[in-house]
Amino acid sequence: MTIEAIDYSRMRTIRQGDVFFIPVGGADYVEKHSGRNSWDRVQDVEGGIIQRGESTGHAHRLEDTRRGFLKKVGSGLFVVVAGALGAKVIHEEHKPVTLEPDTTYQVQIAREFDYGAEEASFVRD
Amino acid sequence: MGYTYAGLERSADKGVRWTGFSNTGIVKNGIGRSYALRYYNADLVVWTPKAIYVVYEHRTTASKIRINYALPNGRIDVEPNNTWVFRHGNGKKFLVKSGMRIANDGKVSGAGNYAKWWAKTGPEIKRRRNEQARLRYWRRMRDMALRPERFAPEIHKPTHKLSVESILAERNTTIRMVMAAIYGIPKFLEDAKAEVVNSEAGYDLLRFNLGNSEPRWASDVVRPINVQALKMVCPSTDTTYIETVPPNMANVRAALDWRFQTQDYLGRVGQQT
Repeated sequence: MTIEAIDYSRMRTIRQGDVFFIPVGGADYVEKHSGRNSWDRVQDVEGGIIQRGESTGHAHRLEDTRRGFLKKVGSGLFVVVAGALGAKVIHEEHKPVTLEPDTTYQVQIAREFDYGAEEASFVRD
Repeated sequence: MGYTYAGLERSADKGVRWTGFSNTGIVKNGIGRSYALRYYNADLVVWTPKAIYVVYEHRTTASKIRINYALPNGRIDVEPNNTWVFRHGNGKKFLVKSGMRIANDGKVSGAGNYAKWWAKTGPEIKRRRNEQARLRYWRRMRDMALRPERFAPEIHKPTHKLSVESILAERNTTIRMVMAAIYGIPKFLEDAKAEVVNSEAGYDLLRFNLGNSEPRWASDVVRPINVQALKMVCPSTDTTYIETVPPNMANVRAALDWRFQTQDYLGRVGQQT
C-alpha cells in the first residue's frame, strides 16, 4: 500500500459570498509555518466568526467551533479543520459550504477597486 | 523733465512709469530705506499731483479703494484669484505689470507685447484655472460623499444632484471620473448601460469609457479612461451584485483573479454559494 501525499494546490477552492477559502495544507499547516515573532505568531480567534458584514451585521461563521478552529498568523486568517468530519461555514443569506477534513484553509476576502481614491493616480490632467 | 526715484520714472506729461527696482543708490537714510522697501514689493505706483499710491498684489481692498480714488472709477478690478487687473479704455483686461505707464488721467500705456500675449493666452489660462477650481470642488464633494467620517456633519451638505446625463455633460475627464465616483461606479455602470466586454461562467465584465486622458507633455500617451466592474449573480440569493475592478482588467478571469487574489479562480473553484 502506498500513501500518496495530498496535493493541496489541486484541491478545490470554496467561495461563500465575498469570503474565499483556499486550501493550503494539512491540519498542522499553521503550526509548521509559524514562529514566535510578532509577525508569525499564532493567535486563536474565539467565536468562530470569519467575517462580519458592516451594514447588515450578517456573518460568515463556523457552525461548530469544535470541528474547525480559526487561527490568525500575522494578518492572515486560517480555518483549521482538524477532525475527520469537516466543518460547515454558515451565513444568514448564503447557502452553507463544507470545508474538507484535515485541511487548513486560508481565508481571502474579496476586494474592490476604489475609483474614488485611485482616480488621481491614473488620470492625468 | 522727468526723473527717477526708487525705480519710479516721473515726468509731467506721462505720469509714472515703474521701471522695476534695484537696491542700488536708493537707501541712504532711514526714511529712504522704508520707502524703498515698500516700493520694492509694489506692483503698481501711481503718482498724482496730490499723493503717491502704491498697489500691492494679494492685498486687501483698502489699496483698491485708494487706487480707485486716484484713478477714474472702475478702472481697477480684482480678479477672483486676487490679482490686480487694470481695465483699459477699450474694455480689455490685463494684469498690472512692470514697465506699464499710468498717466494721471488713468490711461495706461507701455503694456506692449504683454497685452497682446494676454489677449491671446488669457482665455486659456482662465479656462485652466476654472477647471482646477472645479476639480478641487468636486474632489471635496467626493471626499464628503465617500469619506464622511472626515467631515463634521454640519458641513457635510452636498448641494449637487448628479445624474448620468450631468456626469457625461462634464467636459473634463478627470472631473467626470470624480463625479462618477460620487454617483457610485456600480450604479453608474448600470444606469449608463455599460457595454459587456466579456462574459464567462455567469460573470459579466462591464466597462464604460469616460473619455481620454488629456496629455500635458509631448511624451504623454493618450489613454482611454475606463471604469470597470464585475456583474455577478449570487447563486444563493439570486441577487445581482456589481463590484468594481481595476480599469486594466481584460476579461472576467483576470478580474476574478484580482478580486480574490488568486491565480486561476475559475479553474480551481469548487463550491460557490
